[in-house]
Amino acid sequence: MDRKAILEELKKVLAPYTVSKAMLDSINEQTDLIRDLRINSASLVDIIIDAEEKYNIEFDAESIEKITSVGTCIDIIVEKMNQRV
Amino acid sequence: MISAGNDIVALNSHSARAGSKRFYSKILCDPELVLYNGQMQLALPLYQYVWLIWSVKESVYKFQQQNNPLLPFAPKKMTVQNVLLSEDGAPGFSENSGNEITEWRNNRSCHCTIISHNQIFYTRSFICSDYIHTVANSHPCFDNISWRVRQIVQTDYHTQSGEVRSFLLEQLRDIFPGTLLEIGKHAAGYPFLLNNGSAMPVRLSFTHDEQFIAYSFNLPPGNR
Repeated sequence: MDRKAILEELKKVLAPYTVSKAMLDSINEQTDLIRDLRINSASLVDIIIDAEEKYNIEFDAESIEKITSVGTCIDIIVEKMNQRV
Repeated sequence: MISAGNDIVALNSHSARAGSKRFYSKILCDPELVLYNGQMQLALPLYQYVWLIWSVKESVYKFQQQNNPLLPFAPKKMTVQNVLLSEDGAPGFSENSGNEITEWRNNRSCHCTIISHNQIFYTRSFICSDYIHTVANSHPCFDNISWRVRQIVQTDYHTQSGEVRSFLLEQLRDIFPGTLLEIGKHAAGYPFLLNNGSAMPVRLSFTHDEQFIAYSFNLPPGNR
């Protein structure tokens, strides 16, 4: 799965947690999850668990602290999917 | 360290998964689980404890971030050392909150001590069935910190953001009469206070979640 495909799937993971649907349609790797998508920080763990289930991976503590933008989230998903192979 | 940090969690909108191991294992570190499995489990349901620890860590992170904007939020690198619940409040905290809480009531407060990036911080939390609100400080005395919580009707982001700014400015205009106060926002996301375009030495923190908005600020000694 390439980064573009992961981004499209990630939109579905993020959708329940953002009220900014218009912004969600136009997200890119630079989009900040909290500042741009207006996602409440208390929802971040829910998003991480949803992403873990979707991609069959696990985010460790070191990975979680790197998550700020859509791009960093994709980085971690790619890294963990590659570790799985 | 002069700064400000506060955090509010609307319990009804976030509690569904908090009691599951998969969820809390991403927030709590081992000493915090030991703390809960001791006396704390008699005082708080697990999901409230998880959100209490989250709120404590988030408020301390906001406090530290104002002096280190690049600091990542790493909840498992922060360790709550001590949780002191007032005896009258445990267990349950089942009463609904009023619309505005301006001071701690002894039967509903919680004091924590936490280590983050080798520094010790202190927090005070208000716990009720609707929300948990926490204020952080680098000193155990909170005389320099002011805070308030308010319930609002509309819960969209723009309303929350506008209302919390108005709410804070109401109090600051009483403290600094005759000033032209405005709120600015740092690129890292935290707010700062301006008077007629010039920065003021007052540290601010905002938080909002669902129908709850809250702020804290830290006044310089001459204005207390």
